[in-house]
Amino acid sequence: MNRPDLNFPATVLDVVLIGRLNRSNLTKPYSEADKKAALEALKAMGLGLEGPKDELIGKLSGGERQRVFIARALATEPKLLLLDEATLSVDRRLDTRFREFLNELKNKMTIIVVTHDISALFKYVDKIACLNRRLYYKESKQITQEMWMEAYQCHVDIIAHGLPHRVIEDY
Amino acid sequence: MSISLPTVCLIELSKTTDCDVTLDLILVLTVGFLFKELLAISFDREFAQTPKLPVNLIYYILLTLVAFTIVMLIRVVGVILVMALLTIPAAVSVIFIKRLLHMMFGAAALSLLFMLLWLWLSYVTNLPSGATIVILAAAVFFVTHALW
Repeated sequence: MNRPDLNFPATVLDVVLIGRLNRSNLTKPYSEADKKAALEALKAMGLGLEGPKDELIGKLSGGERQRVFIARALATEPKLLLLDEATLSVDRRLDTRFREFLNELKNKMTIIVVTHDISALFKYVDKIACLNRRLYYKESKQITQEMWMEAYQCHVDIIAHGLPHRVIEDY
Repeated sequence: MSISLPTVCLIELSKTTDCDVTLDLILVLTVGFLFKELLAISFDREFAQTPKLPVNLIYYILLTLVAFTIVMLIRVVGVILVMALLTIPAAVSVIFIKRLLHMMFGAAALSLLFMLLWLWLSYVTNLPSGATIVILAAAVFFVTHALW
């Protein structure tokens, strides 16, 4: 399948609105509710009213473009959100804001975050699973030292967040 | 023998058939109704499949519309130059216009302008009309790309 064509004359808002497409609005224009949902998704990604909603998608930086694509996914109002290294090229401040936003969203949908970045394990997660060929899952918010060693064969001492929060148990 | 410019225009206009008008109507209506879907599948077909849209059907409709346009244009400029006439107005208007919808109107307006200029040019220079329009369009394309 083809990748998004970045030279395409589509604005940021056009791209996010694609997330609102469905069978019931086929052949009809987007409703006001669709536009509102799209703008809200953009705002959640830090690309609000003052943001580049009328800018061409190809003119954005890589990080901004990634945020637009996440906004498009959010605009679909999914029941399950799978994020695979979703905020990799996004700056730290927005990353924190994004986590807070996910925390609000998690009452409405199941969110699975996949990451290689240990510090990206954030305080809002409910369950953590480690994956390295095998899945290590204990239905808890904590990773036990054995789980960690078994999965990754290395020690981790501390993971610091804004508020001290322990995801690795004492050893 | 000399015929006046308005007469040339009338002769060219008289080449328009009912078939052209029907195809034009089909084109405008289909694009009008399927605009946002066409935008979605042209930009990112993979994502357009997620809301279970009939992506392949829409894609084939798009190809059919392109085929209709080509059929109409071939009669104007012939097989070889049809690509130039099909792409140049769009390529020029994308320089100035950001939104797809506005770009469509811009490209149509440019095509109209090219056609009128072309009729006049080939009338005063007595050059073959099909080639003249493409030379004209290509000249505009290169000039606008060099300047903006």
